[in-house]
Amino acid sequence: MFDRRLLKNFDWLLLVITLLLCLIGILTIYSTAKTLDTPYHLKQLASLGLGLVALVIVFSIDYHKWARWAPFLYLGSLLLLFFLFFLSPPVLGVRRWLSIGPLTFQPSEISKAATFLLLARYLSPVRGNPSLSGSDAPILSGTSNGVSRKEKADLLIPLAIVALPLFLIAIQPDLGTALLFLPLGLVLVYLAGARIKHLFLLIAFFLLASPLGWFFLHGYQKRRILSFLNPTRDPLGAGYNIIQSKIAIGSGRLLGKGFLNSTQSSFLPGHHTDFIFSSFAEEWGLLGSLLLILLYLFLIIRAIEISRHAKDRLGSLLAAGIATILASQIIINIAMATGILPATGLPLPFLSYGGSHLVMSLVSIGFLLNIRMRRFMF
Amino acid sequence: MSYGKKEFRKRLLILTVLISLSFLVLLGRLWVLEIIQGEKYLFLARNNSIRLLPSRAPRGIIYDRKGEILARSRPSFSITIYPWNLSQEDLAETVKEISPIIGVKEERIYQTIEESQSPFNNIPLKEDVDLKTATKILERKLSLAGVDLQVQPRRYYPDEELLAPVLGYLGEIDKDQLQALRGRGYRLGDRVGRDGVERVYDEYLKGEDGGWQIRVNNRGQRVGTMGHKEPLPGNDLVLTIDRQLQQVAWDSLKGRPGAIVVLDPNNGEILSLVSAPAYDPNLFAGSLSQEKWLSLKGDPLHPLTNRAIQGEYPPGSAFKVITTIAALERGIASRDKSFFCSGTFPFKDRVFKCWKEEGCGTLNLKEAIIHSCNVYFYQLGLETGVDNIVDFSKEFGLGKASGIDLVEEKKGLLPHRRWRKESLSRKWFDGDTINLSIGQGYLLVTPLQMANLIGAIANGGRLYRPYLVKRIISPEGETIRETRPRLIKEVILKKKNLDLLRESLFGVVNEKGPSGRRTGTGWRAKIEGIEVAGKTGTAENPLGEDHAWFIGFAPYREPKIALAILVEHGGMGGKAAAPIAKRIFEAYFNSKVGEKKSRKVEE
Repeated sequence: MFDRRLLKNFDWLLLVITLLLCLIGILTIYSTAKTLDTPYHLKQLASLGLGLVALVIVFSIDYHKWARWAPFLYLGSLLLLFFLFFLSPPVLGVRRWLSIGPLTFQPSEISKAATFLLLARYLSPVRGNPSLSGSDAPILSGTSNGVSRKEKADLLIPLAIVALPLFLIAIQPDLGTALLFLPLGLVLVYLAGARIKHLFLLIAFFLLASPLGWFFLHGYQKRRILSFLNPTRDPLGAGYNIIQSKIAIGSGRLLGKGFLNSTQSSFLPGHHTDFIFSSFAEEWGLLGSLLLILLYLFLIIRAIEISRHAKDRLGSLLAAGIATILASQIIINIAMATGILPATGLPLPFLSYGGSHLVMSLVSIGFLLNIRMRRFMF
Repeated sequence: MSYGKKEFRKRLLILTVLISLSFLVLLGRLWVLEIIQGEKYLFLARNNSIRLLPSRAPRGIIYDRKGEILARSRPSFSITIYPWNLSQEDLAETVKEISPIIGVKEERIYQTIEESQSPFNNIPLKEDVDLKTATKILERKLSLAGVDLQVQPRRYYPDEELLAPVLGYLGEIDKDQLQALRGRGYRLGDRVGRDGVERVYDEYLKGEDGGWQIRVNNRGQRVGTMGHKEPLPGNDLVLTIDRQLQQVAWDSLKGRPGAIVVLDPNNGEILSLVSAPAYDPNLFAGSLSQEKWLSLKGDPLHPLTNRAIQGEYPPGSAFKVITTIAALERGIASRDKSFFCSGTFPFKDRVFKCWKEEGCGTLNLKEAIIHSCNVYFYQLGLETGVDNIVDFSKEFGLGKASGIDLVEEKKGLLPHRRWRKESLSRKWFDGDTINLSIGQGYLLVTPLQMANLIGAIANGGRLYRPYLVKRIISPEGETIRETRPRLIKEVILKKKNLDLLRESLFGVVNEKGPSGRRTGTGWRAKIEGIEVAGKTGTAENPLGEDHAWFIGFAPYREPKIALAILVEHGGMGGKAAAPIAKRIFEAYFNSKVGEKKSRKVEE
């Protein structure tokens, strides 16, 4: 299944950048963990190992095969989300984790990967037989006079593919992760050739649909979501986090306080998970943050480049989908930490502590390597 | 319009530009925070000037079925300290000053601070202080660096010990619980339910803490408020308990140790659940002193044990109900089945006695139940056989926890052939069957099981899961959960058998002799105008005086309530337990405790 020609096209640079980011993450976690009893950095190291295994598995199997399995993966992930919602006791807490034996994971992470696989497959020219391509036939452009029935289905089905997991994750409630599905869906439909008019239709639909979903929620779920959206409602939770986060970042100034010298981020719950950027910026200052953001930007541009040069539309869409998810998470996370966006809680790829998220981020890198490696194969 | 590679690449480029622009915005924002406003944030960081002062959520109120309050939260003052950013001198000065005010030794205060598990949180120094102490603290606020006076809700049980077995009590969460409840909003120092519905429904009752986000100066004193979040009160519970009836039941025990369970046989709602002696759950609302705890734990009368669900007793003659059902249903006996009682029953090398030394003469089944003749039931039990008796015991829920919404319910002991062999490594003898047929020997039951059993006889064979919480209501007033009656099983019984048994149970209370005197063992439960049916029990036990039992229901024709009464070492069931049943039935039917008033809550 594996031949030399493939390895020649292996993107070592992408892998090195990824590992560098993971290393920065583990060091930052190590620094923040000094006030905690748990050796989070070691756990993260273990997750990194697991993630690299997953990465190898993902890139060894041709991405067309993965796309063929997409419907099953997608259905499976929906089942997991369903399971999570209906089988965990209906308490005031948040349901994000599923345990199988000693393993605990977040089904929403799996769902993210399964959804972009299925969406990319659906939007690629040759459906059902994705291993053969060659035609660049338009999928979403339709005829010039009006919207054909076919075209409607082509908008409705991607809509359904995105909306189902979005809804199931939103009611956990994990609004941050749920909203990630929106840019993913929009960008893929856009890149697949949809007309701009239809994109706006989609956006309008989501705007209209959200109050509808509201009716299905319990009082306490509504309160939770409201304080997610508007942190000033919650000066002890999100509101407090944002001001502490700003103090941590701001007090880092140009050069930072130096490795292991952070003092402010320890006041911040989640300083090793969702707010890890604040810990990093406090210790490394503007200069360190600039370097980190450039690394991320390089990663995203690389992914877009892979999309541009991919062998077929499926590869292009997959790579673009990954670029979108990674970029959205990075932008939203840092925007939250710096107080531009309300903090709803979303991990920073490769840096935040959290096994499921790290493994799935590495899986997406696996796909990028996979697509790039096979760009000259016919 | 075609969509080709060129257009795709154009769109990809637009995407790239958008992403790059967003990254640029982030860099700009970082420039603002770290360079332009850097000094300001560094200053804020040095003074660590923003703190959280939690305010605890009041727990939900617990109501009885008619809306009377059984447990609520009242405001109380507690004094806390935030020592984390105080200088050594400031702390020493504060501790020296506050120690005599709150009456806690200085060493003890330092110890409390040292042992605190949660840095960056306020540490409680003294809870529930009186108004005078609170005022003193406020007056000297300026010299007490880092000290806060907080108003916190405190649990209050107006009826003290009356409902302790139902409500339970609160205690500080321990490390294991904290671990087990991870991710469900519990924090160190939280008070959680330790028993009763307080424990079972803790997640519904607890609410969500709020608090203040405040700015403090370098002596830890508040200089401004940056934000405030109201705590969210917990959900309220409406119980199936009828407080008035509970009071009557409690009073009628007159301080004797025992248990009473009253339930609605038509759905399993528990109207009263009494266990005496009990404890005052208010004792646990604050921190309980070690001596007090030990004295409760070491009390020979075990006030912490809920006898209604955890007390396991031999049922004595009350069990004859089961022996009768088994014999009738298996076709061993019918209305005319008669045996002779001479007062004793020699069997193999032993002699089993009737409670009536002179003997009861020749009796049919109904007469045997009314007079509770042991010798009759020895012979009936032998003919019916242990297996049939055990089968029907199981059908009516003996030997198994009923599944009531309380913790640590005991399941009693239902002995049978296999059990005898496994735990005593001896085979089952006929002598064991003789004992079992009158509810003696190894058999053990809880008062709740007996109430449920007689409830099922009352309603024609339907065994319900008994429950205490009728409804859970959110602070906004919406019903979050409504408990629906759950049938555990329906025992299919022949109508004529059931009628005969119920007729006999009616006779136990109401049968008149030729002279007009009442002759049944349960005659003391008789009430003019209300048709009561039941069965007495007098259970021999190795610990001392016999336990007195009465199980019964009323009205006979259309049962509204069923009950089980146990008086520990109370003597004869007819003498000690039946009068209690009478008082409870009277209270229920005379004050129409039942439906009429309960409708008020539902509207």
